[in-house]
Amino acid sequence: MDKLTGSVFRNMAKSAAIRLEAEKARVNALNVFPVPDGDTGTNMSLTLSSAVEAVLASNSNSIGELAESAAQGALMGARGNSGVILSQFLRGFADGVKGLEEADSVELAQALVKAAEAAYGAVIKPVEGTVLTVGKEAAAEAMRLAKRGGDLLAVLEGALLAAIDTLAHTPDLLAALREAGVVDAGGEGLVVAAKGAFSALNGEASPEELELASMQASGTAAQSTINSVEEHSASTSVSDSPKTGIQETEVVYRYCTEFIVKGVNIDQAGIKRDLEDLGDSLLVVGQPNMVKVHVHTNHPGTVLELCGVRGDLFNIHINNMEEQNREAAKHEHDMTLPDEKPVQPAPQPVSTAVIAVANGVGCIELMKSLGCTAVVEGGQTLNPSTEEILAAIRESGARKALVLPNNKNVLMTARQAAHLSPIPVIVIPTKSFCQGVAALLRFTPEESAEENAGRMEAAIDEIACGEVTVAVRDAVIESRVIKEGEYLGISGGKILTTGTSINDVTMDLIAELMTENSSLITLYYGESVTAETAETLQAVLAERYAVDVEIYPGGQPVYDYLLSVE
Amino acid sequence: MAVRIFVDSSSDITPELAAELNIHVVPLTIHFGDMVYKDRIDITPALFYEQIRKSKTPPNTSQPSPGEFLKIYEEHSSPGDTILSFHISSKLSGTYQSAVLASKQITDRTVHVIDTFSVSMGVAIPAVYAARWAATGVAVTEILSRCAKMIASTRIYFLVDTLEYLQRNGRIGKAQAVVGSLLNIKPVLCMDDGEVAAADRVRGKVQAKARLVDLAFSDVKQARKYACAVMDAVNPQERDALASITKERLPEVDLYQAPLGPVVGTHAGPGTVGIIITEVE
Repeated sequence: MDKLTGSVFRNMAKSAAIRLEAEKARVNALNVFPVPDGDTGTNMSLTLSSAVEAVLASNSNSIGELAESAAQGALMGARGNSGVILSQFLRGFADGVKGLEEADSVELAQALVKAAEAAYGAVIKPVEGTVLTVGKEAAAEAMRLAKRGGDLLAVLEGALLAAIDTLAHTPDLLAALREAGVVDAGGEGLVVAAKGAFSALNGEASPEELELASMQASGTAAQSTINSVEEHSASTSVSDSPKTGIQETEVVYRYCTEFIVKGVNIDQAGIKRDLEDLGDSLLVVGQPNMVKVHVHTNHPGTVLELCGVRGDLFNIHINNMEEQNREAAKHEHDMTLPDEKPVQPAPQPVSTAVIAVANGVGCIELMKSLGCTAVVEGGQTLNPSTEEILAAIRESGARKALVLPNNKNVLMTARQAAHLSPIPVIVIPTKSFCQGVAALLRFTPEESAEENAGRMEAAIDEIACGEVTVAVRDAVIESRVIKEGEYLGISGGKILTTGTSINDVTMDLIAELMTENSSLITLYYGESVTAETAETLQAVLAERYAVDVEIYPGGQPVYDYLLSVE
Repeated sequence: MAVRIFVDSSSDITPELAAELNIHVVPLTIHFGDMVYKDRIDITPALFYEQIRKSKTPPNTSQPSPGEFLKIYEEHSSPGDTILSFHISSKLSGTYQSAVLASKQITDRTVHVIDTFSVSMGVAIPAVYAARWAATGVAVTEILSRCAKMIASTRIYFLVDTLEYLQRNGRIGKAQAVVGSLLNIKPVLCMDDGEVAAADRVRGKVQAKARLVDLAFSDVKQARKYACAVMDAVNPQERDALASITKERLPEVDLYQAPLGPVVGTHAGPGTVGIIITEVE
């Protein structure tokens, strides 16, 4: 075939739309970046359908006019970012074949290059590793083959294979994809449409044959057989939100290992069983006589040996992903334009560490969930050592640290640790767990240690804190007679209430702390208190005061309740 | 040679105000599963919140296509006119991008597409002022420069019942940091550089509302003129309360009230209340 005619173009467009419509759900499932709305396939399919309707409505037989109709139709029907980008591909393509009755391979390649350029122009800040890259590489390959004198079929086949190959590598370019373990959804949509178009041109090559051809050509995974995110789950642990761009992530399995096994009646399920414990992102696809294997592992040698038993190995590729990862992160830095916010390197270590002292599983977890870098276990009757606090400061690797002692008996130790620390340390003098919570809520990682310290210290006095515990012996304190085993309600180092009922003592203590502006009571119940008991008290308090009452399992020893009123 | 003002439907401009000032609204699309609605044409805020309660699938939104922009621009302007088109932050929606693409197709009239870095009435207020200025004969360059100042001075603070909606639709931006706390934290959210961010995090609804007001009015100067808007997603009591506080703090304020429409409702969820404050001139 020398030239692409209008009527063939019409068939290709129709076939592309049919294929994309049939596979849109699979494309939707891939959509994890930048917004997990999962409608890329639907949006691209509707956009392409709108383009094809316009093509079918046209009586023209000139490729230039039909491509123009497609571009107009897509423009009107464009939905979502992916649809808009697709419409710009078609716009660029139409500009490329403008005025032509038929297109030869060079003209077609030029139009594809224009299409890719127009797509880049549609995006305010183009990102590599997306449909844009897939389109660009396909167009570049088409141009290379056309210049060498390749005929129409060869040029388009080459472009399609390049698209498939580039798609398989999108996770290498985009951390968000790598983390989610998927290829780019928009790129997948483009490849699906291109396969549909190509099958109409060729009429003979089935998609499966193309798939295998691509595997042989590139030795990369046949990504389009991925049916769900789970099958290709992430092998990296994320150190920051993908929003900020490509981060250097910690790679759990270091070697991306890919190869083809050729043989007779190869047992694919057997290969999966052999390899599933050696790594992740395992993909085993193909036919009984040829199977493509892809796995992330720390033992590529073992993987090859296990599979070598089942057939002959071809196209073996082993890549160190740590290296790729660093390259990708570096590349992202290079691409950052001066007017964009710089891409932060992975925030490990943090610039300001927050080290808190807490006791009880629930309390420790709460502190961590509020942004503590590390929690040193300890508190009343179990004071941590200077060395323990110092070790936490050192291990944080931070440039500065804030320490929340959360107990007056720990305050001195914390100051001691600050004195001995190799990095500047500010101790926020929190005397209770609840004060620590109030202070932590004011912590903003983006701001300096000094600014944070000022705000956090101010927050300490904004809430009233108390503790409920049991007297361990008889005593007389400030003319108050206390018997062993009685409950004590304490606030600010003073015993405010006593009694034999834990609920009464707690209620009385809260009554002492309430003011007319109070709007929230929080109870952290200790290891000796059941959730049921705490819930009952919560209900009674909510009824009495008409304020919000929240309860959390603190799991702390010694104190039945730690509580705050604010 | 007239100046024509356009906004997208995320601006939450009321139909009355749009009609009064001859502002044209380009609809976004709201999806509930397979059900598709043109915002403010096929669905009102009231119907939307009823649907959100009934529907098993959560809603989603999609931007108008460049073609739709082109059609509405051409329908409501004539060759030689100047079009000012105000839109939702380009970091939250592709609407701005669609408008820009459409504007490139128009050769016989001048189109200025403006990214407000904002949402809801934060999009509408500059458009409203632009319409008024245009009506009194202020030159386009002057209108653009005044609007740029307004946009730079605009601050938005809002409270959501739950962060689920922002998270599910990927609009949580820099406020991501407040997610995952074991403590029930109420973040006071804001728009920072066109993205959602947490202005502060406090505990309890009462304190959250107090902080919202503190933040909104902390910098106001009595010598200046302000436009404010208070908005709610079916939370009229809170909106009224915010409106009276606003009038108390700024007796001269140019105050707008509107329900948060389906676009913002999709991403912030029912129960949301918000306040926008912007310096005028």
